[in-house]
Amino acid sequence: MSLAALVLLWVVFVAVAVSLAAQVTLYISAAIELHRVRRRDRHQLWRRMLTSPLAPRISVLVPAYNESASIVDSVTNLLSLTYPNLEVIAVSDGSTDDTLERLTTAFNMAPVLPVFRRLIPTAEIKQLFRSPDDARLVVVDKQNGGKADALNAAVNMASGELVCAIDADTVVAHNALQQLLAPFLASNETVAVGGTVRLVNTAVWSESEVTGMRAPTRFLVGAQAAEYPRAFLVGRLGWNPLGGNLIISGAFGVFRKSALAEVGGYEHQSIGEDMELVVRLRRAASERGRRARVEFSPNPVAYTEAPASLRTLARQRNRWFRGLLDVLVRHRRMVFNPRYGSAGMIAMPYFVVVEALSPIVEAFGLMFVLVALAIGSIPPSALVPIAVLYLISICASYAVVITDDLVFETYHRTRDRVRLASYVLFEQIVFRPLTLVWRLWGLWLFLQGRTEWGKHDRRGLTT
Amino acid sequence: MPHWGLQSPNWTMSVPPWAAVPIVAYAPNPTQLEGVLVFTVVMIVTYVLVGWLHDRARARRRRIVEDAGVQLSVLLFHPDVEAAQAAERLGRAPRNLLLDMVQRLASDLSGDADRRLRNFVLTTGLTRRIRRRLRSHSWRRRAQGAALGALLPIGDPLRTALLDDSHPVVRARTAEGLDASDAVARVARLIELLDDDVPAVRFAAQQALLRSGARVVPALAQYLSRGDGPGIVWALEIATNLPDPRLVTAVRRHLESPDPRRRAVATEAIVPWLEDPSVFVKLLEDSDSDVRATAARAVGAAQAEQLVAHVGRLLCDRVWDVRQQAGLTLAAMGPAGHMTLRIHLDDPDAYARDMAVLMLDTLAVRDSRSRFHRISKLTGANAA
Repeated sequence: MSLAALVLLWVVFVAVAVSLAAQVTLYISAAIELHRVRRRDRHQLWRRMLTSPLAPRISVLVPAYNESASIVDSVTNLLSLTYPNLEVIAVSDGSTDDTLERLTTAFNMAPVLPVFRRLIPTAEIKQLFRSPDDARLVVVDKQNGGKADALNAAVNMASGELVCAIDADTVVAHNALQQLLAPFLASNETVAVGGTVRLVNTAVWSESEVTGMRAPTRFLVGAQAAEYPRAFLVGRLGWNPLGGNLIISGAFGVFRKSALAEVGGYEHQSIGEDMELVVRLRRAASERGRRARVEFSPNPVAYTEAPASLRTLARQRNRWFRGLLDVLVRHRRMVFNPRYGSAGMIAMPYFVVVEALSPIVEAFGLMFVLVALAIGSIPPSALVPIAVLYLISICASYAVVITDDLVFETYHRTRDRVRLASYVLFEQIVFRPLTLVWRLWGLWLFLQGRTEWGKHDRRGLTT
Repeated sequence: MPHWGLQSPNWTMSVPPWAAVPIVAYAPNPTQLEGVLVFTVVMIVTYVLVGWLHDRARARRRRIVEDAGVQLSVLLFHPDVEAAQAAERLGRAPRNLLLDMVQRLASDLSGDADRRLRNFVLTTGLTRRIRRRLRSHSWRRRAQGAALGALLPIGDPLRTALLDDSHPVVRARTAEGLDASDAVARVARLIELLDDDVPAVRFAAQQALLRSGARVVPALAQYLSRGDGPGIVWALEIATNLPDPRLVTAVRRHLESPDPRRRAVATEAIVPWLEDPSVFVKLLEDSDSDVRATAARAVGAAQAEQLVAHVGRLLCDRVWDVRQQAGLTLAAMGPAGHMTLRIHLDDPDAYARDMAVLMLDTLAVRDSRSRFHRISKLTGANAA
């Protein structure tokens, strides 16, 4: 074996060891935090919040681009939330389908002149609609400017002191907003709170509310159903005690509007606008000598549509990875910079070393092993460590899926559990290598400077 | 050369022992692959089994809760004989479960049902448990107890003692659980809690004061006339939601406050008691834009037509929010306001012209829409 191969072997080994150590730390941290959050949540003041005239006003922002399949269900769901001081702002971001027509027809909207304060510059607002039937709903028709621009337009219209950004295909659980409010009531330093996102594809519906879950029948959706609990319960919750999150999902998160306006809203040019905003909020707070808490709360749940085709999923995943790289490049000064506290010293380095470099390390590692096996430099038994790593990974995934099921009572039928258990295997053995390919594709596109979003074919929430 | 357990002779010949550490550290053994498969199957079975056991335990608990719920409803709402039998059956239920159920019900009951529930708590010895929780060293136990404190006999000092607790969650829970008579008894402490650093405590104290209604007004008025802490803004918010003429003098004092937020909230609070509109003239010319905007809105709410000209001047304001509020107020004030808007169509100030155009256009849209509705109704009626 050549010296170069040995060096490569050691690099891969060290990268795997660092990644493993980071993952173990996150798992332990997530377990402790889950216990703490569940005990804390027993003492929230939700009942009073339900009827209080003093409850802070929340404006729910719904950016929509060609979302005609799901927009009406989504807005209906939002208007039925049990929060006393609510406003819903749906923005048609230059949709070319009948998104706007569906909204205006379904909710009896009438055009009014676009009278609002331009806190953040956006593309031109063409029309503003209000409904005589429900004063809580505002619909904005604007020229296409991307998701970030649509969200900024909605922030301009928002009258609440808190804004909740959701995707147009997202359904929010009835008491989720009250639960998301808890960290804002606990501290004035809280600027953003995110909640758990689950898949709506196989949700059981009653009226406009999700009342239960079934394990998906399609493997691709099933793999995502097995992956999401790990991403949220470990990848988000675990960061709470380690210095706070850097990601609040674009599909469901609440922000303090004053903090959002102070940093200039969402970044138009960024493809990972949700993560970019959170990093910028934390960065701005550190530079102004303040603390900005970003929390993840596991109990408030929103449901979103998972891509059901390989093509759409590939586009989504490579966009996510490009978004991550974009944020890390934009805010590279924060990495290992003590001025930014835990965000600079722990979270950003983790995202660089473990998340951004992982596809390169994984690809090199796999290539190395395959080539070495082919030329007989290593024996087949050397695959065993890789199998052991997979085994650890599978066990960890099982642990998270079981915890999620038991703690949040997600599934109730044995057949759903057997299915989900098989999806965990599928996710680890087939889905993860696929995501590796998509991330490498994302890296390639990022290096070429490609920033387009790609199309997500919606099937609609109630289909 | 030591043997590393690897099969290939090439490996052992070409690799120094230290370089092989990453691979051999796992003591590779091909037969373990079978173990991997077995282990995976075990994991699936474990998941199903754990889930099944959990579901069984949950179903059993649900049955107990449902049964206890039925007995509790009999106890609270049925004749004495049946209630006595229900109380006897409930006496055998797990105490912690009973406490949970009683806690959920307590704040929603009044009258005879409330009296029966208190009696039941007293006779089954639950009060002892509540007291123990209230005195616990663990803040979580105290927080649980705080939610049940209202079930202790009236006059018991423990009912409100935890308003002075060191933990904010306990303070908030105690304030949340207070009934009106306790809130009146501890009104001074509740008002102090408006200065608390933790928003949840402030919120709970505000709620408790609001729930108590007019009985806390004298203390609130006193605080508003003498106090100067950060809680004044929250007290002014209560005054806005609890309109009472006794608060007017105290609220008026804050219209002169150097803190613009106080001036803005005080302006909102004073609207229902507007006797002298000249008070607003000064606020409409305030140095803070939030105060000017709130004053403009307040003039609209009070329908003070004599101030239309003053509001019209705000159409030239450099701050968009103020112009918007002024425009909306004028639009809502009927002919006098509409006339002022039309006058400003020729204003030399471009901002004022723009807002006047926007508002008059909005009114035109609204008028045409209401005409459309009237016509639709007429045609609908004719068709019927």
